[in-house]
Amino acid sequence: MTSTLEIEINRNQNYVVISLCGEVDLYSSPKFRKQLIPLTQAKLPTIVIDLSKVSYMDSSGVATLVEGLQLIEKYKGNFYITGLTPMVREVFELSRLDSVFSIHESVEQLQRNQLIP
Amino acid sequence: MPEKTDEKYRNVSLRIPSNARYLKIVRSVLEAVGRMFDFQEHTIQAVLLATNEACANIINHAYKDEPNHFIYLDIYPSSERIQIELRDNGIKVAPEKIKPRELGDVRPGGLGIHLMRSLMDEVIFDQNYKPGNKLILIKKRSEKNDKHS
Repeated sequence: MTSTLEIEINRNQNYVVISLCGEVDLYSSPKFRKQLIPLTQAKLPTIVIDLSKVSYMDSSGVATLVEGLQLIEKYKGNFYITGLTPMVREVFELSRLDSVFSIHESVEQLQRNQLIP
Repeated sequence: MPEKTDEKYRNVSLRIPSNARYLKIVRSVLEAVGRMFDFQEHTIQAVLLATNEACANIINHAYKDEPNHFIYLDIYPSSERIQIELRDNGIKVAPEKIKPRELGDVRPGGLGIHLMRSLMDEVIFDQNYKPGNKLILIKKRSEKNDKHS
């Protein structure tokens, strides 16, 4: 069975954007984690997770994001989340994690606000 | 619009292996049943996420991530509510041992039970069920928006 999650990684000089497309659940979240954790181990200064094409996320996806946040905070890097769809926003709000993450409208907005070059 | 059948003949049953790759099938079936019986989209999404979390807990805790078992689901849509019963033959999980974590305690994991309780009107652990576990999830129709069929 093919994965319901596609992951695209765009590396730039000082930051990386991980774009997720599809559904993040207990089956697919390990695939996301496998991409995310090495980037934190490499201590990239800024990691952006773009969720604008995520139609579904369960608590395993949220747990992966929390783990990423905690790892990047250890070396005082930046962890930004962009493009919450209504479904994903509700999961964040119910988990009361909407105030824990730095959430932004889009990657372009991060650029306009000079949070990334 | 569904035909006017007796509510006791609306039950949909599903059996899936205890493997996370089958969660998508559970979500697809719940979505189809919810739409067939005119539940509001928000209600369908809540049921879908809560049931997904319940199945994930069975896979992780009752079956300890072993994929060679089954999860049994019975879906009961009615004019009043949608009820999902989940059964497994895994390790008996005491409800007090799967308490949701404090939300201020930011760490991976421990969110599934909290999401279930936040999303559903009732979450009932049938402690008399043997062997394994039985969980009942109930979501009432939203009075304003869900059409009764």
